[in-house]
Amino acid sequence: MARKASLMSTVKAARDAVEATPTEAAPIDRADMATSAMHLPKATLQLLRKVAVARAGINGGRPSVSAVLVDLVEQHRPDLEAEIGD
Amino acid sequence: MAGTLPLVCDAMPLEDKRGAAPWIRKVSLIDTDILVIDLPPQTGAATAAALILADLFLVPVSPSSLDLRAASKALDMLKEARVARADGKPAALLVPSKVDRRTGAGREIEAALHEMGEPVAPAIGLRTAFVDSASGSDWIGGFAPRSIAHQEIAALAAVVDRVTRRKG
Repeated sequence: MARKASLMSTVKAARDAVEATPTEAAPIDRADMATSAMHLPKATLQLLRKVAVARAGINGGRPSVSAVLVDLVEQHRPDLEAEIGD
Repeated sequence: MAGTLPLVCDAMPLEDKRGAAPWIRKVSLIDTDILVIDLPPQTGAATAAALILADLFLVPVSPSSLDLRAASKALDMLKEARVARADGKPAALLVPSKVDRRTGAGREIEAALHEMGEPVAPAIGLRTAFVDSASGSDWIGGFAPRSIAHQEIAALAAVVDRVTRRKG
């Protein structure tokens, strides 16, 4: 009868399999980027962080609050540009 | 989920070993300086998966024979993980928890833990402030700054910092 693998050996095999197929981070175009500090309500910042973590869990890579903000701005770009008459 | 905690929290349950690979991949992709994995009380797939990744294993142990027995089982799994990893990791700290010095068990908990062969952290007392801060969705440093409870957690954090820096 084949010996049943231990829980730890199964988990180690899973880790080894993960390390054997690394996920590459998406290339970042750093042209025209600027860094700024923002003053936000705590709840708003927590929501942004949670979305960043959730997206990183699905897409891989590093959680990025900045990327979530960029997405939101691009989704609403026509409205935002209309406010300033662009 | 995080309440007013000054950090990001996420729920990542792992029910059995068949989910280990995607769970490990998801955790491995989290890019942060410090990642704390809060584990369920029983030693199962989640504990095994965390031990295969972690630098440090914190084991809270309250002064009771049931908790001491559970800690012993956790340390058995820790030994398995160290053999499987072959890099000497993870380090471990036994944390005397919910300690009431007015009781015999509370006075003797550190002595009992020292016999288990792993380093023992500073004790965390049995304090209503911890319950109240959790009810208020805050950590003890936000809920009762500079209190004895906060000082106890700060002392534990200092030891954790020292151990993780030493292990690299």
